[in-house]
Amino acid sequence: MLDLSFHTSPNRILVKDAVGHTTLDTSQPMPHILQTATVSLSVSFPTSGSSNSHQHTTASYMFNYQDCQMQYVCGYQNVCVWETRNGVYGYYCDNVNVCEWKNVCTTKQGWRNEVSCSVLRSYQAREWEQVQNIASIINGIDADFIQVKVSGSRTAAGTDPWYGTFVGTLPAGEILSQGSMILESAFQPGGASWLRRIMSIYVENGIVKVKFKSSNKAINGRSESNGVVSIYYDPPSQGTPVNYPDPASSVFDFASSFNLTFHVTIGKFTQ
Amino acid sequence: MPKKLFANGVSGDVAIYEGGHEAAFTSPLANLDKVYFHSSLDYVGVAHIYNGVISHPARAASAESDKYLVNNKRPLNGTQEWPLLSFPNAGYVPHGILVVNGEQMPGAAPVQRNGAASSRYIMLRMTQTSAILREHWHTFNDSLAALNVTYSLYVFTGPIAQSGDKTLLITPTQMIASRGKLNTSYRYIRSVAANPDFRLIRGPVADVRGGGLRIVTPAGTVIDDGVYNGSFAGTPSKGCSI
Repeated sequence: MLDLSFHTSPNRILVKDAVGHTTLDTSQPMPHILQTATVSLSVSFPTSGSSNSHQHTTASYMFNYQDCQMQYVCGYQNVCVWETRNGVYGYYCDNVNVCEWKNVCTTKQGWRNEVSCSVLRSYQAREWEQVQNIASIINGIDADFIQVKVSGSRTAAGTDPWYGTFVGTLPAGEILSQGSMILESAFQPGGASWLRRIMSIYVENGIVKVKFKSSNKAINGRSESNGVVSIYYDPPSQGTPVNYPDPASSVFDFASSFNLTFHVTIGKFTQ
Repeated sequence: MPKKLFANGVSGDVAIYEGGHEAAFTSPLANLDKVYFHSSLDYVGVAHIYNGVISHPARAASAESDKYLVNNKRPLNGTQEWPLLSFPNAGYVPHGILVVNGEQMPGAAPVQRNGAASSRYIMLRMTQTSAILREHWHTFNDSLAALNVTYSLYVFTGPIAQSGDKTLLITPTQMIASRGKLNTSYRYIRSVAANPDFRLIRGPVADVRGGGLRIVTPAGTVIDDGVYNGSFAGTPSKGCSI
């Protein structure tokens, strides 16, 4: 005798398929769809504040130079003249004290000082979040579950000091988000995480919302040498000083933007 | 009040609701607190199931030196896809739930890590006719060993329009009601207290803090990246079976 698999009573409907698997049992809460929604929106994750610190180092190079000065110098020297002395005309030389202005030079040591600058940019830690509404639920029903697929693209990508563009994993097509979705990650040398960006879709007060979160540690970029920024001489008379302003370091912009479309099914369990 | 089972042969609607509240039969969405079952509701069924193991190949460590970094390497990265299911075009892109080694992970979640950050991320891409597993990997100084991952995928039905010429049909092994909106040829999901096949959720399963990431799966498993310093504890979920 066939064991009928359709059972019903005022409290319950139970249906089993041909191999005995339950396909419907109203005695257990069953999820049903309240509504669906497809909503597109954009998000822009911000960059972090940063500042430069400059480190100056001086390299000095010695050189010799002639230090010449006009001096009034007196000294004995032979002074010879043609003249008549004691009735005799001749060429006479006398050792006499002679004073005169002379350019007197001495060899001295001087220094050429070259100042180099390196710049280290420090980025601040930042915790950031933004909430956007996706859909209001009919009758303000407090939904029990949501199913979400996400499609979209990254329209601007942040960069870091070491590896360039942040790692992003959002491909073309509709992707299951399963509560949350990781959008971007970035790593320090050696690979330790320093930046993560996610989005989470949730229900609050009868509204389906998406919360975007970004978190990054404080990091230092790589030290960048910008070469010689000034030259000066000791003594100053030995050269014209050269001065350039301290240059800024490269600035890495952490900002990223996404255009996203959410395909949401909102549901509730029957009692 | 006692429960009441009522069927309307003209509309094909079948419902169990709180006796004395006839509006629960005629307007179930506006009276959900009085409805125990109503065939015109869009119950979620499972249209397709995949169970299997995907062998993710080994990924080599990066060999490309960074001119700024003495002992570290620029990351290598790539993607690979595996079709898990093909199915007849339902006219819409269905939802689903992917279970990875017994856990429901967020989209683009890491399933393998070696060293500081060489990682393998997985996600599921749905089309109207297929479900495609996508791996995105990147390696730094460390390689990724080959990895076998067990996946279960449940592809759900969407809202089903009324169709056909039968308002109500009951056979020993099948029930069609509300002119086809309810059809037990789909395996309808039911809430269960223990050993669920998967869980339905209404909130986040991941958080970021201090530059790190924490995942708390709907089953309560906590996965940290060693950097996260927040206190995210997860979101309650409802276990379900088919």
